[in-house]
Amino acid sequence: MQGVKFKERYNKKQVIAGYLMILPALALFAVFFVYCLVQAFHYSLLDWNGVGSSVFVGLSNYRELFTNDVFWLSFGNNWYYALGIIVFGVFPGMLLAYLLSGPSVRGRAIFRSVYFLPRIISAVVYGMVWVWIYDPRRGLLKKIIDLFGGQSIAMLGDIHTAMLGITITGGWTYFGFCMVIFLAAFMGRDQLLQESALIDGATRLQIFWKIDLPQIKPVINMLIIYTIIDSFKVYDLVLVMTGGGPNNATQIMTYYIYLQAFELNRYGYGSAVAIVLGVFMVIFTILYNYLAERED
Amino acid sequence: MKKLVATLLCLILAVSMTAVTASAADEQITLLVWDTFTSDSMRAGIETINQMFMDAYPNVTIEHLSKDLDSMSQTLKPAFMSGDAPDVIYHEMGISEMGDYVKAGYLMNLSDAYAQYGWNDTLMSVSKAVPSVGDFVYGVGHEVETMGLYYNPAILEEVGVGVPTTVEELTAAMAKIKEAGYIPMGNTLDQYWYNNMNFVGTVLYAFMTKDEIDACMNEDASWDTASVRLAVETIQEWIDEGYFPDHPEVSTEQQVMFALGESAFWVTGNWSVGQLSDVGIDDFTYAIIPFPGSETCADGGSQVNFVGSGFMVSNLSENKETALQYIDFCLNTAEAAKVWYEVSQVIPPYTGDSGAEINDYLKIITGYLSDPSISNVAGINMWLGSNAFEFFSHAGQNLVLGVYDVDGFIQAADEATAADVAAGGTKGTIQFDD
Repeated sequence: MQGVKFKERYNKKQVIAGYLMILPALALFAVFFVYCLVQAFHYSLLDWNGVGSSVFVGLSNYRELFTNDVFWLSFGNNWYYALGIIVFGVFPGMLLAYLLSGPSVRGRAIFRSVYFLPRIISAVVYGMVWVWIYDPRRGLLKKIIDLFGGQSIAMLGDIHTAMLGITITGGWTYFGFCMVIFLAAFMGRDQLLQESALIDGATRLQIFWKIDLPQIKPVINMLIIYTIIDSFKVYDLVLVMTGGGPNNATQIMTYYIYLQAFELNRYGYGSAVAIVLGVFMVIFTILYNYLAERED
Repeated sequence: MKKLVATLLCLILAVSMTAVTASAADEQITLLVWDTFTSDSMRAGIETINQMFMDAYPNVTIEHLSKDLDSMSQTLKPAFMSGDAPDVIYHEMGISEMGDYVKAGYLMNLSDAYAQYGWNDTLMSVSKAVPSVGDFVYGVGHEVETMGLYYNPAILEEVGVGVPTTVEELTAAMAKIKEAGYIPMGNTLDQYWYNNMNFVGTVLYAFMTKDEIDACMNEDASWDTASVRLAVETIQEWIDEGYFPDHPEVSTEQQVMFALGESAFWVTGNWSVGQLSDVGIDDFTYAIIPFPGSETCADGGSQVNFVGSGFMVSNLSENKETALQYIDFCLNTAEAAKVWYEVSQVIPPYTGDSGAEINDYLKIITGYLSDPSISNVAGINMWLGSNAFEFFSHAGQNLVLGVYDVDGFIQAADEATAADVAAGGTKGTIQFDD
């Protein structure tokens, strides 16, 4: 039926004009995305240093990466970071947005701007600021610990805490962004439902849990997918704060790709890791969307 | 009639040949140069020198493009692959960076140019040693740097220790300095490759003989030698005794610590002269000596030298002779050397008298560089393959964290070298058609 309606509403010239209009964007997409993707897959089947001749090695780069401990460590660290950003970024952002969305809050626009500020600062800049905060000799964290008489810790120099240090920094810059999105979602809630629930004697927590959250669930889903995808693309923060160390404790996928391709001149292997990362992200997104739709 | 025609033809030929010769001499040449002179002082230096060159060679136009190191690395490969490489490249010259280009035949062999332009005699030896694989010389090194032991004379005097002449004396001095409440050694072995490699490399060279260094550099010899073990044990001892700042595995502003008089010694290179003056503490004075060798080293140890980067000529260039003239002008003339010293504040490889006015600290350093009694050898980052480079980039931090003991350190170093050997990425194994 849809096809019949389409034909009835648009004549042939309009349809052709429509396709012509999307053609430039499609061409750019084909050149800068599809072609690059195919090329990257082609490279992933080669033993190649980036210049000169290459040797076709089939799937051996893929076999190698699946048995490489640092690859799996990077993959695990990316998940750690993604889940950490949800804990330190998405949840605080949601709670803050909920508080700011109340009818009696004044100066909402100022709060929104202030909390959003870290998001517009370059990762290199706030990465360096947090390196100073964590500095075990002169940093802010040391000064706070000193106030309580504790012993200074080298957050970024300890294998067990370095990833946490980066994740907290990432969460700090992310929560303002989440707050802005959640604020828009909370502001669009159906007020009548809330008022009805209040009249029926529901508590604030019950209203939040049973009425507010279900209404913004599509936003939560969208933000979680976006956060996880975004977290798997983190690179500059690790570069600035730890360089993947100590002893690979903060190695993540994108940095690992860079290291292999550009530092160790293993373009084939680096491309294989990039392809695996891309495939994983596509599978994850499809799966998450499927589960979210089924739940709805 | 035939004679007339023949004479006319000869005349026409002679006139046309003269015209061709004249046009060759006046032919306008555009030399495309990609360099990594991105800082203000370096850019000011190269722009001055480029203008001087164009004044001296009016038929040559220099088109230069400055890129940061990462951009250069990432754009040079596609430029060569697509045949659009610049005529002259100024970039890092270590084998880990340039080895693949040498293998692919993209860089011109400059051996003959060294003889033709007299660079063998007039430039510091490290300029040629770093970009050499056997008889193949793929560049001319510039921005000569050397590691040294910087110390605070006031602290040494207060504590009552003399200037150390051996590593063993340095260790003893540090014990007393620590007792006096100072940080004996102001280095951190942190996340930055250079803070690991420069320090560990300097200590290694204090224990290894020149022959041992040469064997590792050119023949991929094992790191498992008594001298390397002693060097690693010494660093480990300094870590265990707490001679470094608290948490040396995390970076800090080492120059500030040194300038504030918190640390007594600092193993660093001559780039720190500028950093220390930038700190802006007027009454702070320091001294520089070559890093002392170990008593256990048969030849007294070697000093770590670097060339920051260097000039190379693309094999695809159609203006190779002009490119060589340009390099000769940049590095082998007194007027250019003066600009490098005074405008860019770096040490050029030129050994002649440039007439430049340089500060006292740089005078001391250039004195060490040209002192024949000091064994000056290219630092490990100048010749390590990419896997070994990666290992040494974190070697110091991993010693601090206890990831390696001495055996683990040597095993990991040998494994990294073996990976480079397998990939044909060392000076000893690189294969190419000259």
